[in-house]
Amino acid sequence: MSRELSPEAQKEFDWLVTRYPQREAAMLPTLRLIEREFGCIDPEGMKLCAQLIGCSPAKVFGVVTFYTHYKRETDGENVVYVCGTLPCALRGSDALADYLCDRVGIGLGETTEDRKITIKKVECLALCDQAPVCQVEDVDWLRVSKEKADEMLESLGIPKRETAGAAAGGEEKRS
Amino acid sequence: MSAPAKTVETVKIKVNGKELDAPKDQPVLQTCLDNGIYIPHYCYHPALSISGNCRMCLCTASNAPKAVISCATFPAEGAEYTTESEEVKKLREIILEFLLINHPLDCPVCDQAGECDLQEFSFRFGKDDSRFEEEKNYRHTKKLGTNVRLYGNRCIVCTRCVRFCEEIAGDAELCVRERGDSNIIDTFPGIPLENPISGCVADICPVGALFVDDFVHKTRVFFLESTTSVCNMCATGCSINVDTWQGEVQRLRPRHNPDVNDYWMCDRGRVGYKYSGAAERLSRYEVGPARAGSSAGDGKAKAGPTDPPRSTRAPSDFGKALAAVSDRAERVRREHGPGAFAFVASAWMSVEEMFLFRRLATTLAGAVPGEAGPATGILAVADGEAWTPRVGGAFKIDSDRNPNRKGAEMLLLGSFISEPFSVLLDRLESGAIKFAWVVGGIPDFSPMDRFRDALGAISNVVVTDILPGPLSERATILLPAASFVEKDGVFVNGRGWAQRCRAALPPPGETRTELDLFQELLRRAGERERVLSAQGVYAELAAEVGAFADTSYKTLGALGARVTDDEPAEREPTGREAAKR
Repeated sequence: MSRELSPEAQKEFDWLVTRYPQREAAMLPTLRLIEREFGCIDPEGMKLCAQLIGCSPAKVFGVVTFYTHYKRETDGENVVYVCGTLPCALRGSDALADYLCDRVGIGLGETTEDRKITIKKVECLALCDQAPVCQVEDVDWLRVSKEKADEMLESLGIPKRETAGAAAGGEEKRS
Repeated sequence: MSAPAKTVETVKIKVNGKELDAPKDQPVLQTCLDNGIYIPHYCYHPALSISGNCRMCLCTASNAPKAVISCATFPAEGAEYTTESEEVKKLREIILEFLLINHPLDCPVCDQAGECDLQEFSFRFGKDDSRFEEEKNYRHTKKLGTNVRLYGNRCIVCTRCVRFCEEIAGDAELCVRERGDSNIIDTFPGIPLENPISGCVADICPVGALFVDDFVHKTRVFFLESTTSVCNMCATGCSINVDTWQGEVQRLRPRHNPDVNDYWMCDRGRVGYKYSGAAERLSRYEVGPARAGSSAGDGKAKAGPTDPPRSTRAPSDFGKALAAVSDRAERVRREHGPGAFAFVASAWMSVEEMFLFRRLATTLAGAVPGEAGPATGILAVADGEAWTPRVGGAFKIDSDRNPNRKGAEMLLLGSFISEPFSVLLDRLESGAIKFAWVVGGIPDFSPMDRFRDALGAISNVVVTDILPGPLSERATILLPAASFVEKDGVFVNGRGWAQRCRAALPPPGETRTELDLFQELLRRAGERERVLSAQGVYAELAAEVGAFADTSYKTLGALGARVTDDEPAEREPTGREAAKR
């Protein structure tokens, strides 16, 4: 069963490719389009993209796995992106990721059984001056301490632990 | 790299103080390599697009503030490049240290050890230690397709294989997935690496990440003895290296030949040596009595033609078998004349063998003016549709599976074979043929029923073959033959390129090559003074057959030469060549 775009989406795609010198160059926006249409990018979606663009599915696979912000079929409702690049790593992103995983009860890259939360380590989120950084959907969490992490999890429906102290300061930034 | 015949625009550059004329559209790296200045490199491959990701070929340039990668640097008039300086040396050390960060250094169990560019460059350009103390990461080991295995940990992600699959094979099954230090070569889930030339990714892999499954944990490469030869699996005739160890072929590898196969060969050819090492190889001379009751004029009257006749042959040796052949041929000639002979050559013989076989036929059968000569024909495998796999890219595999059909046309058609195969069949079935000599040598040959059945009813059937099968079953005298890895000879590919096949191994058991066999028979018949090497026979052939005139083993060299104008001279351009034109 091969997947097809809706007539409206197909129209959008037809317009999209006219804006790039080569069809292949329209891959990223096409993937966004497919993500929007089908809720995530799964292998079928990648195949569809390859077919639309006119390249091999493997090429699309490489691109999708390179970028961290495409929603995959294995992802839960909310994805917690923990930046793992150098400045964040120096400011303790490893420990932060471990803490988050421990609190949620899953491993890195895994999804909770109720498919609510996925925790992923990703490359630079471009907020190095605020390291360590997390991102949940479109919200950036800056200078994430344990307290801040608890707060972040609370927003995802995971109640704070009894022992957790008062939340420390630090502003929240919406992008 | 093959220099285009048209005039190449060049600019003057200096490399390490030495003045060079550098082709304008060729990277500095290639110009240096062409001029004997070695620059280490991983991701650059002359047949593939430029990627510039390994950084190993860094050099300094007078017109750039920082070091540049010479594979992606095109020469600028008057620029000076330095490939040997303290700075470059330091850079190479640093790059190698980086490339080895996640490399497991498992050389003792790695099949690439001995021909690995990581080893080689570490030895020549590397540091003796690494500052990396952290844990190395793990990347998957898996089969990418039927023929290719990936050891992800050893990969340096140069992407040669990815570019090969896209540009040469054309199916682009491979990709680099993930990012940063989790970069790994992979296929799309459910679409494995199955193009017909997939094995080439192992050849171009500069490290021990990709292997042809057939060669995994087979031999240490530094024990291999390499013989330059030509593949026998189809009329493309790829130049190859036959790598042997302890009397066995371990692998075939493509050898760069810009006029024939560039750097590539197909997967079927790559394992095309298998039958030569088969346990059931014919290796004993066998002689049986002439078949009785063959006087029946009507071949169709034979019952149960598909049952192979029970062998009545007894073990013999080279000398006795040859004597038997001569005696029987002599008797048939006396009693029935030249019209009672049939000689069937094969499109899998070398041109030297064809040349001798042609002469041998005349000698054995004799000639009586006004009387019909021997029946003649040639065995070839029919073009198989299954054998014309779609290769999306430019590398073409010939649909003709016979390695020397062109040679056979040049040497045998007209002069030796003047009748179509159906006439040969009619004559074989007529009962008039009393002595048939069939040269097989085709590993998976199944002759048409008529031919096979007709042979079963002829009193004397001499078969020269490699493997037991329908031909050898019907032989009254069986002469084992040498396979292409065991003989010297010239093969002419479908586009008219004559190339030398060289013996990498001795033939099995007591087997002597057909070249020896035919010459020895001719010598016994007084037609020849000495038994010559293939080179000597080729010289005779070149003197006699016009198309081969002025060629010799010396002029054929390692890459061969064109001996016919029938076919288009130029190979189809592949990859970057195609993009250039």
